[in-house]
Amino acid sequence: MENKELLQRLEERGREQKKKDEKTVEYRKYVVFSLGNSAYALPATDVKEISFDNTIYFVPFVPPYIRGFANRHGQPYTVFDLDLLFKNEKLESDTLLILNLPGDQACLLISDVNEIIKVPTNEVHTISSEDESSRYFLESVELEGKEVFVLNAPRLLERLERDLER
Amino acid sequence: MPLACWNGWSGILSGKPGEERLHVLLLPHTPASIMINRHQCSSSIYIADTREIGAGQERPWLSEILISGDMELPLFDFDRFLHHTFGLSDQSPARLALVRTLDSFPEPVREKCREYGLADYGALAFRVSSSTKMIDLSPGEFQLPPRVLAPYLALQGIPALALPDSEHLRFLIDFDTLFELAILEERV
Repeated sequence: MENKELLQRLEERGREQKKKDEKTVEYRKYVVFSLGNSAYALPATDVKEISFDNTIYFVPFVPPYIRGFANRHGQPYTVFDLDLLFKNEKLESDTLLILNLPGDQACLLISDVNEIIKVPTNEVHTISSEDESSRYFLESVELEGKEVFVLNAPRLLERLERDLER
Repeated sequence: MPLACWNGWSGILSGKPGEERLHVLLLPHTPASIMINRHQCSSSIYIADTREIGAGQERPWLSEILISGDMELPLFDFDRFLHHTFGLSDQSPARLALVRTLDSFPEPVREKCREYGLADYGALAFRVSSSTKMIDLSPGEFQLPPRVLAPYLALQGIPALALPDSEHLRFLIDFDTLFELAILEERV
């Protein structure tokens, strides 16, 4: 066997191995969105749709981070303002991320949707901190050198239920 | 929770089973409108003459007496209350008064009325938008608020919503509950 032939075989083996590796890597898909200057992500399966130019109907007697109801196709959705929840700052926007949650209709007030990304599972970081704010996040991913936290949407409903019981 | 399970519907529907209608007063506002069950309003009159009594910290929503012939009724500014409470932004005139006899309120509300100094009046008046009109809706045209908020809002006096199309939202309010908890109880 000549060296040239050996080289071809090794290259071919390398290509096959690469294909095999690609098949075994699992990816997670996220919707990355912004709240002011901060970026967050949601598992793509938690997002039903993105909606622009919405009227938000103020609802009395609820915590301030509930900005009201949105009317999506004749259905009421609870509008969460995460800037108010996390930073005590009101977000000025009329863009909504409609959530796909079992058992309730809720959406997030956001500045904009940045992008939809696919991240290899082994590049998804778990959150080790146990402080109050980290309870709202499932994990984090790195995007352009910055850590982006992935929101745990059902935790928002749990927080609201707790606040309403008080 | 399906609407049929909400006990508040019993006694406020009319019509044959399957064809029941709910008679509501629609107070058109922007961005949301308000609906009041017809059974929670005795009558209505246009406001012609009033006398100022001066609102205070103890009675932020009561500053006028409605004069109608020989009759004098405390006139609550329900229109201003709705604008304040529901974040309404329109400036439509409010020259209509909903009238409610004192004995038509449940006893806990009557008790609070007595504490409020209203025992000598046979009825109370509530200023609302002049554009108020009566409409009939079927139970199917109402919806509960989203699940987590629904039971809480019902206790606060907002039992249901109507979203007639994708551009409008109407709150059905429980007049007695709001009057008791948010008007008679409120102190500035």
